[in-house]
Amino acid sequence: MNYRNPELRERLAAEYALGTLRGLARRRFERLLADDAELRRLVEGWELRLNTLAETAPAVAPPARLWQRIEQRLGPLPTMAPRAGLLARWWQSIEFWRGLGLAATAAAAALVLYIALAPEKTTYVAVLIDAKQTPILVAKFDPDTRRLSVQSLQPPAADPAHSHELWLVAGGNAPRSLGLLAGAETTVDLPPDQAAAVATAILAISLEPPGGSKTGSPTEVLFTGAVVPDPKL
Amino acid sequence: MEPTREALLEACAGGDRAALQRLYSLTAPQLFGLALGILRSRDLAEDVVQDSFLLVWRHARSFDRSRGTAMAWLGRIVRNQCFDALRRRGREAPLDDRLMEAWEDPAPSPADMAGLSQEARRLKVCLDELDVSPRQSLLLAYYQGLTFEEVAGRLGAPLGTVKSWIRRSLIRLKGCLER
Repeated sequence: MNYRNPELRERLAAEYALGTLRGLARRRFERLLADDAELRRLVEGWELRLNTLAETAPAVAPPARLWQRIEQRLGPLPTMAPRAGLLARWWQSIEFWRGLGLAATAAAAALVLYIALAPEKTTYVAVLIDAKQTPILVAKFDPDTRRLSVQSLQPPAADPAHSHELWLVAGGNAPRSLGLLAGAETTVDLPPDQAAAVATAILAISLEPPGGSKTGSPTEVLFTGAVVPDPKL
Repeated sequence: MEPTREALLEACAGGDRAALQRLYSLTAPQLFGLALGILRSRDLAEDVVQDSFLLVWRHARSFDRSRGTAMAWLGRIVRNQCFDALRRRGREAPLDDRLMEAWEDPAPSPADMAGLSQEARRLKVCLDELDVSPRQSLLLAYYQGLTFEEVAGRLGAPLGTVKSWIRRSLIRLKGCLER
């Protein structure tokens, strides 16, 4: 094959990135890549183009232990700062607390304190964000009591024309309704099967007609967040 | 303002461990789903996502937001790790079809739609311009890591037809994205 032919190079780069180039052909192409920088750029362009599809991959919550395994492999934090120092660093690094209103900042401070003072047992949190990735609500889940609480970071606007409904999305299953939000803080006591699923689930909040979804599925998803083990920094 | 996935990746480049954890909580379900679709094994998919996030942490500095979205950069690492994992196992074909129901229709679920980037919306518009079978072939190859032969088997279409569907789709997709 004439690997100088621009059309062939483009086609092989695209098929390599898609993954349909397999076996011997894939290995031969990788040898070409090793000393052809322009070909590597073509492949990178295709990989970034096609992998935009990763955003719409079906979400499947990985088990909670996966993050713990990653953390173990990363090793200890390089600076063994005292507890207060760590907290301060966390405060600075999580920029999303910035830009929120005063009330939200107080809520964030309360959350940080909650995280810092909570006893050492595994509880779970989720920060629910909107399409612009602004955090809107924080959910906390205690597996001992099976109680899920969802708290607004900003005072919710009064809107009698709509209800907000909370959904549990777990393991590739269809979203299951956990009920309607009531004001700035809502608590739900989950049945055992849902409690077992929540630790690795995604929580979502949808905009619904008054009284909730008429179809059994979310009408318009506004906010989503993955449930993760509480970092307890 | 609030950190985007891009800003979190850039913070990772500066050694910010909390940014990595936040990036993980934002992206791991999609990336795990992506790996599961190709590998069809929860154990293998967990290994791939784990290795991928270690690579993300080590190579975050090479992320360049002018070349693509953070999610594309992450997806690229995960998918390449998947193909490496398949190769290490000495087989290139997927394992079995038991896990596949959820991937038959790779349309984004409502929970995923909320956070789509402009680039992903654009790509969706371009995909929607393709005919049904060529689009389906391309998505099967992407989400399930199928070869031409496997796509042909799945769709019950001749191999030559599937090859030209996918090749033409790739060309049309690039043209559409560059418009």
